[in-house]
Amino acid sequence: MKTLRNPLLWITLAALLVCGAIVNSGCVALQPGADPLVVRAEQAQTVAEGTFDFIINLDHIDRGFWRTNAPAFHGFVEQLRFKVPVANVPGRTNLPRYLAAQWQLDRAKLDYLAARNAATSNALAAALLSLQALSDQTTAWLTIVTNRP
Amino acid sequence: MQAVAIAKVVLALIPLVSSGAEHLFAFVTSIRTAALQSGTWPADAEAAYQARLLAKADAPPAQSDAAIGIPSSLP
Repeated sequence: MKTLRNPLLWITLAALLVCGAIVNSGCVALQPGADPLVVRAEQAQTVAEGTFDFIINLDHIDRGFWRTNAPAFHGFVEQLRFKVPVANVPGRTNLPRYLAAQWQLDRAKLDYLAARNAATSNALAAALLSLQALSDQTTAWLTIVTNRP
Repeated sequence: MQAVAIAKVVLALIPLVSSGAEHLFAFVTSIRTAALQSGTWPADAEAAYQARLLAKADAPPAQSDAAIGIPSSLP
């Protein structure tokens, strides 16, 4: 009975259920005719958007707290917010780094869809790797700041 | 008095927790959505994605410390 009252048990069970829900959803088969490279890019876009939104808003909720207690984390988020020059964005010449990486992948994907050749597929693969690297770094920081040492 | 102080702290934390939980839920949902994707996005989803990206660029969370009046913490 005492074990059942341990909140850690329930938190662990809840975490396992959430993980189970994600893992059991698996990766579904592609529809006939769907380009795997495009679907892979869009999957990366979806995950990256959720990851970036989470970390940017987590830091923004209390910037003073993170700045004081986790300066390296806050510095990383500031690097994500740093504005970088962009092309082909309507009405803008720069975007925060994390949005620019997402926009670049989207543009590369649309260019590839318009003309599928070696150049556009290479550009799409490069943009995908670039966004994936930034997204992976962000996920690593999420793991660090949301867990006690 | 201590109970009042605790209640005040809890009340102050509620908006922070609810806001954080909302983004955590969106993050988990995005992973699930990506895992379940079987085809390419329709045109309206593509347009909505681009509109969301551009809208976020002007939102306060995307602004740097310096842009919202806090001394920059970048080296």
